[in-house]
Amino acid sequence: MANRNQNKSKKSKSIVIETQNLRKSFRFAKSEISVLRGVDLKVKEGELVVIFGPSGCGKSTLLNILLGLEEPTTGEVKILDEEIYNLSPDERAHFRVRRMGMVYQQPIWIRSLSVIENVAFPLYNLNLTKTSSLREARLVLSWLGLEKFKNHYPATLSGGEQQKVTVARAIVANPTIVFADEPTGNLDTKAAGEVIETLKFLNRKLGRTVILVTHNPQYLHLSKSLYYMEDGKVFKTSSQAIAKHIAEISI
Amino acid sequence: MKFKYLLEIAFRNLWFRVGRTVITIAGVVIGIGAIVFLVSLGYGLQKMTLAQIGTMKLLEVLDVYSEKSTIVRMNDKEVERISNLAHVEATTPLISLGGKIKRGDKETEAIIYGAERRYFDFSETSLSTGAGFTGDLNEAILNTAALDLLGVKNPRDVLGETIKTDVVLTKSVAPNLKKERETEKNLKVKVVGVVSENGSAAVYLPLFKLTSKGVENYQLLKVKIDSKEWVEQLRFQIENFGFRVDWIGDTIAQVNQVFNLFKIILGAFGGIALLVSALGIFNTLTVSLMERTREIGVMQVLGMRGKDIQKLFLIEAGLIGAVGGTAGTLVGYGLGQLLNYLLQIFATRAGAEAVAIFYTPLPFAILVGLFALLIGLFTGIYPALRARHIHSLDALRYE
Repeated sequence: MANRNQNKSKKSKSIVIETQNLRKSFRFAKSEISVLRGVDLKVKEGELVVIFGPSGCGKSTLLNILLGLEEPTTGEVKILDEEIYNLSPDERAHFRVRRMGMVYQQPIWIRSLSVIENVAFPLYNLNLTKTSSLREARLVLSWLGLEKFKNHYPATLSGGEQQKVTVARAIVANPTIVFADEPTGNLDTKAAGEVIETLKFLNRKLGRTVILVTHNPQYLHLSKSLYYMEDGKVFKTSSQAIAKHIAEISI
Repeated sequence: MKFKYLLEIAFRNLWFRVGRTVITIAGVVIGIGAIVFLVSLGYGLQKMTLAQIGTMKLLEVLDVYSEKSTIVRMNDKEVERISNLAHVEATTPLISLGGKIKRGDKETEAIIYGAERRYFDFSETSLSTGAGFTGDLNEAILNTAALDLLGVKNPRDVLGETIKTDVVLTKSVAPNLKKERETEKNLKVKVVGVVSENGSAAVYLPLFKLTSKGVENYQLLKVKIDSKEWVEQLRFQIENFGFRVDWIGDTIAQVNQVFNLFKIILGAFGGIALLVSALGIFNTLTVSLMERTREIGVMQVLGMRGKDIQKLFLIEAGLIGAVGGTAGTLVGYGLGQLLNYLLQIFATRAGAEAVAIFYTPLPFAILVGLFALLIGLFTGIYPALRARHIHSLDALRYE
């Protein structure tokens, strides 16, 4: 696949996500609520980025904007040098499938399809043949040690297994960037650990850029690229600073 | 997304909720089955009625009568005029007189017809027993109504028997008669055939037997033409000579008209069932849409386009319609055939003639099947549009 080779040749730490003065506000009845108040974010290829913040700080809105699902009120979003809100919705959908993968807190499945078919689903949307879609899906499942579940229905798997399959689905189209929005929120400690290991594997062994959004302080140590998000703004920070900050708030 | 994947996913979705799908399809099967069953009854009865009226070859025969009020009489001069018209293949006249038939000590009033041998080829009254006229002038063919009145049970018993007839001649049919009315009594004739004909008792004598007694005016002239496409042209020409023209096609058209109305009424009853099943499809799709809202959201995030999502729902609706339509058509057809079969058994036991009262023409069956598909697609439009316009983020938050 040409795409795969292209990613490798670009390995010279190019910028994959860039936002400038990103703002988003929602109107409720007569009042206007600003959720993002000027977010500047730069992510380099191959990074594992952790965005940490309390509930309601605007993390999900930021992710949705980066994914091309929600247009910002003002500001620019460049993903792999593409100004994605200049694309038509269909072009954006196509771009998203090729370049970005998504893992949600709760896995959502096409319930009538088996694990391998769910994983292959994004490739159907890229008009790949069934044979090659399923071949890619099996390959990705085997990377994550999930091949044994391929003919199960996703709903019959445990929460942790399901979440790992979601990761497989997120990377099947060989995207450069994988977003994970509270991927361990609904899991017990052991399963959560496995999912985090999977994401680390994606980043270290498969060279994907991973953006992990969480409010769980356990995951602060995962990366040096740590951002703290509060009141619609994003700050570059360190785990010690956050620990101190949390301590201050709780007092 | 490629159509075949959409089709496959649609099929899998329906299969995933197989119980619900089967019930929805069953609704369509009942609706379509009822339509096919009832309308097949209409077609069957229509076919039976048309079979009673006559065969296709009679469509090439015109019946020409002289109007009662007119002075134009059907005689040899007029027969020749008509015979010389283009596209007329052959003609054969019919004389109709009053009279009596006597057999042993029984006698009955009867119509005395004069006809040529080929008259029976151009008419719905065809020989059921016997060989018909041979050319001898002293022969007769009786109809079944006459046999009843003469006390004959089996038509074969009377073949070869000599019976007597009285023939009443009047000046209106035989202008050269000396008196206004004259009766030829006790003509001896040999029975050479029997025709199936209910109603009035009648005996057919050779045409020449009556013309030799001075009959010149015919009641009717059968005109055989070379193709039914000339019916209107010849009807116009012959009517201009001052005659009335009847054609069996007119009767068939009237019968068809009545039965078409009948079929529409029967179809409408089935249509009510189909309407209910259409609501069933609609309901199923709406419930499925609500259940799958989050699924639709994630399909969008994974790159599925709005129009593909719309197509997916339309295909699911169409599949329900198509499967229900096919099965319904088969069920309706099968039920009709089953009843035909049972009727045949009863008829055979009762010694009666077997009848098929259900008839399903293939084009009708195909049309109804397609109709079911259309009903499915039509009811799918609204849920499909709703699915298409679901906003992915709202869908993902949907509980």
